[in-house]
Amino acid sequence: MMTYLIRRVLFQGVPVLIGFTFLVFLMINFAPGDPVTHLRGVPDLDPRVIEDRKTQLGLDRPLVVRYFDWVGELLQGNLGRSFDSARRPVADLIRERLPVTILLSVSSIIIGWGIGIPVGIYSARRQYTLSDYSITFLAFVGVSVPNFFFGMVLLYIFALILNVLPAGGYFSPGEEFSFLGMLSYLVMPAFTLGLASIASITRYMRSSLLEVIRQDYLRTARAKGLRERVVIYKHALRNALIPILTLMGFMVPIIFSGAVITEQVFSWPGLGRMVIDATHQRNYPVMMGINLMFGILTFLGNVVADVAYAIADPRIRYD
Amino acid sequence: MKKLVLVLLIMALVLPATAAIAQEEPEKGGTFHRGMVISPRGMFNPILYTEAYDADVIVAVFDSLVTVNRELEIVPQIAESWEFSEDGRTLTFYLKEGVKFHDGVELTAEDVKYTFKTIMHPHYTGVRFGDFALVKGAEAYKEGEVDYVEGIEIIDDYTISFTTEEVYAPFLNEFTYGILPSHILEDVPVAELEAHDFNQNPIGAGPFKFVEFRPDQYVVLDGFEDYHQEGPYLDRMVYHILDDEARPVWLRQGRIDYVGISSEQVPMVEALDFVDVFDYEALSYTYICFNLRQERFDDPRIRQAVAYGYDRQTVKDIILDGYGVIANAPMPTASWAYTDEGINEYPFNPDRSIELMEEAGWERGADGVWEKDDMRMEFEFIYTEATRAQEQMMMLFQQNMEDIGFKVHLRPMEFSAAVDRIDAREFDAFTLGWSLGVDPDPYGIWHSTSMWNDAGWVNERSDELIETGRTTVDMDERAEIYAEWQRLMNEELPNVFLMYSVSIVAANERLKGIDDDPGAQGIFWTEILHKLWIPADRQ
Amino acid sequence: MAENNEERVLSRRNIESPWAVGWRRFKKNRIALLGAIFLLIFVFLAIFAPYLTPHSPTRADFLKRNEAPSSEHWLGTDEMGRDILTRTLHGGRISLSVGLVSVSITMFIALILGSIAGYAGGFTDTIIMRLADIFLSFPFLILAITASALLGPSIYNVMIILGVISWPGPCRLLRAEFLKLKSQDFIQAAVALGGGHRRIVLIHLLPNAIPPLLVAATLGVASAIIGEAGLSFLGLGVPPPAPSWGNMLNSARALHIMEGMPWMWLPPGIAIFLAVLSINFLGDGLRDALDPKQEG
Repeated sequence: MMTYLIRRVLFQGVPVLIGFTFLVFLMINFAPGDPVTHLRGVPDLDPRVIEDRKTQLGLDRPLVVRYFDWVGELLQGNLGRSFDSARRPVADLIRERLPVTILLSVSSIIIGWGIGIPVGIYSARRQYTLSDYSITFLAFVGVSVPNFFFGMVLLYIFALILNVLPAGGYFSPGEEFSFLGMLSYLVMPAFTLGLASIASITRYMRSSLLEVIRQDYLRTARAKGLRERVVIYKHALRNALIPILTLMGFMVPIIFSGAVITEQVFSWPGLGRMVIDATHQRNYPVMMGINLMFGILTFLGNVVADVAYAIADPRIRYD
Repeated sequence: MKKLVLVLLIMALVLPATAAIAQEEPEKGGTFHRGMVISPRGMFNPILYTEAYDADVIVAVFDSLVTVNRELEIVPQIAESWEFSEDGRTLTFYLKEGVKFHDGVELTAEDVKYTFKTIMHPHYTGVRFGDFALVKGAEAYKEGEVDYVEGIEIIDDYTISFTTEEVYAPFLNEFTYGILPSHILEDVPVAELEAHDFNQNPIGAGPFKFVEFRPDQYVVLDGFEDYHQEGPYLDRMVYHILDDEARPVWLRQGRIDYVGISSEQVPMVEALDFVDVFDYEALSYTYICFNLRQERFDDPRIRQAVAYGYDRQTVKDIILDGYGVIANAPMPTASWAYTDEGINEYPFNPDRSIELMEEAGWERGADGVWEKDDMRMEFEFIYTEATRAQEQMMMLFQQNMEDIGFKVHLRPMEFSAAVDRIDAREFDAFTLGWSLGVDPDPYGIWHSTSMWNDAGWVNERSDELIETGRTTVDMDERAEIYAEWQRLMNEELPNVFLMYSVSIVAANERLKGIDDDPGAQGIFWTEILHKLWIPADRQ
Repeated sequence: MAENNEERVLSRRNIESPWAVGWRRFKKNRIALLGAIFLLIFVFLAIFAPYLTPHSPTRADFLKRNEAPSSEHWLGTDEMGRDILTRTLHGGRISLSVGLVSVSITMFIALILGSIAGYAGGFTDTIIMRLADIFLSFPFLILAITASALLGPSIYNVMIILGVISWPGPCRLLRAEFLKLKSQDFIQAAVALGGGHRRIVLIHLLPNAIPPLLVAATLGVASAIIGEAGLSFLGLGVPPPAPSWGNMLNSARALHIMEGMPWMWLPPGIAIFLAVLSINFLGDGLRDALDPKQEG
């Protein structure tokens, strides 16, 4: 297992990360505009300032050199400094926002799986009943609504009309941290982000379980006279869950994509908001840092999914 | 204003005339929650920041020598008074005694010298040098030829003077930058100042102490007990960063007391009985810039045709719900230099546009678009990341232009990308806005040598007026010069001016000490931050 | 009974193509049929949009802004006085074209790279699959944000971005199909008979790999429509004044509109929802019909 993980990181993770960051680096550097445009309109600006600034930021150096400079710094654990006027270390900027982005993403994954799996099971066990049809239909509905719109509707209903939940944001200063308080900020964004996961997990779970139920060993189990509950929960479920676990790896990047939009709708102070801003500002180090971070997180999500897969299915061996 | 050319101009420390401020007795305590839609960057250093969102925090933490009052006049803050020498080139400030930084150390002339000398330092990384380039010896110091600035002189602990190479009328305005504590920063190499922790943990002499900044969430400031003026009455001031669409809801939920809103949100906010809505004409305007380097746009009649042909009245009345003032020259109504005398208003009149085009020798082609020699009035029109209202203005523009034979290809672009094209002068036309400083000097935007003269407008008379304006100290005379300049701009229309912006703000009625008849700076501003208060029973 | 009949039919013409089998299965799937019918209606409305209403989708009339539904404007007008019904119909044109074109781009790339990877194998395969990993393992929206900074806002760029970003999924699918087919007897036979590479790929492999790709393409159209809406929200979608369902919904994204002017957001909202729903139903039905093993 350990050797597998090491191999996976070294031979798959690292090249993928390098490829991805290089791709992003090229794209953003070829995009029109440069990071000094925020100086536009500064009154009586001395023209030397713009040139000096470009030199300070290293923009006068060739593109490829700059990429390898970035990689070199990265290997020493340095993500560089933001190009904006505050010149703060990118690592700090990420550290400030990463926890809430992870909180939001993980909550939405928990919601997606926590609701999707039981509902999927329920639906499968009542195949071809009205409740099965309704659930299947609702699951389709769930993947057919743009999430920013769903978020707006939630905001409108629960914050504006009912006035029971805060209209976005996160803890205010002076507000005691409490679990309940956290939930009140978290619940709308997490459901907005989790909606699509709930829907797709439900569908996958349902069909996965249905497929397992049809298989021979369960017929054998039933033939042995085991009660249906036991058959389902002891034998079928475990096997039906295995393919679902592989989904986790696929869903992590989708969740992060959704987080960019959800954070915007709910003023959630995470990485998603920062990446949009950094792109508009052509803030290369910040963009690279965030992309790297998302890349690593996604990769970790994939590895976790693999490991879970191996644990759930004794036939799988990584070595 | 009396006629005082090159005469001692001494301003005594008087309480500024803030006419409409409420008369109740202020009460201490409470937290003022204000909203902002874009997070500060976290560069809380008055000589290094470049963005307005950082400035909102900086002005509360740092006091400056002078500040600006409701009427946009310069009034004392740390400086008790000041005077210009007879030749108008030396400006001497007399500081108040006993002004304390938040760490208890007294602010003296050393701190003032440190602040401004740093701006002129060869390794200084900020953008303010241009403001002080005229200070005697600044250039030599910046180039590293000498290690002192000839024009800065400390006379005693509370007296400091600045001498310029030539008379420079807006000079006093440059001293609205906050004063840095030299006892903390003087040993920091100037090149490293930008990355110093101080910028995220600033210490100034303003009415509020910096407490905490959480990017994208909030900034917390606490009232400073030893502030050198009355107050501050507020215990705490918190800036919340929130999505622009969520503003009415935050107001409704009482999570913020104050925020700027859009005209569309006004009805929702007015429906709240504990929130008041105010509007005021701000120091900014929007415009359409044609690239005058292209021969087809070079004739003023073309620009006049556009001005007559664009229905700016509809923009104001319908698109902006009345929150705007039609602009016909680049001098905001709120400025003391503004004039409407002799200004053509270019009322919507498409027939006049067509006449002007014909006068200019253009003929309509087969598809109705104007043509002349090998030129054609078909062009790309760049606009940036638009708000809903801007989007509508662009649509109307395109339609109006079509009606008068101008074919417009709208091209939405990101701000950075648009600026790239504009700076490279690779554009036909674009629309943007300018936010102006308190002093009306148009040099930075309109002088033929200026970096931001995007239109490429060269006009000897304009240059002459601009140059005379900034070397004339007498305000009446200056106003007269700028009035003539406005008439010239109005006639020539190097840009087609669109709207002077009207800002709308909403405030919870518990917020007291505000100006309910706001001038160009809104219902409160730097000068009166320390006077804001919240009644004890509503804290 | 039914089954017996079916078997008899099968035996009579036992060379029935998989397509025919698929169609028979598909016909019985009522939800999928419903999806197909709805989708046809949408396509019809989109194609004939210019003839269905007397209004222009882009021409603003500020004297008629924010009007509630009336006999002249059945679904009311937007903030520029444009007819919402007209815009929704034209929006369908744009949203569906964005879906179709971007999926075509995706499929084009996937066909080429997937065929090469699946047929050639070895080092080429590794490289292509690693490239797919790069694309698959990163949040698409973040790539899209960067890409749209590079390309600038335009409807074609939205198509390109959405199209290029989603190629790895179908590419893997095709490769897997190829690997499976390659081991089968008839391909081995074709190879043994000395068929050229091109011939084997084009005649034997591709046609047999089409069904799962078709399913992926159908579902891809749905995600592209949702994807465009997401990009619109970030200001990176189809730029105005051209209407797409995504940018219409986004421009109605203000609380005062949600509250007071539902006619602005309900039509594009319902249109996206119904279109995506029916495409998903159709895609799901196609999967059941053509590729019963890949249920889910």
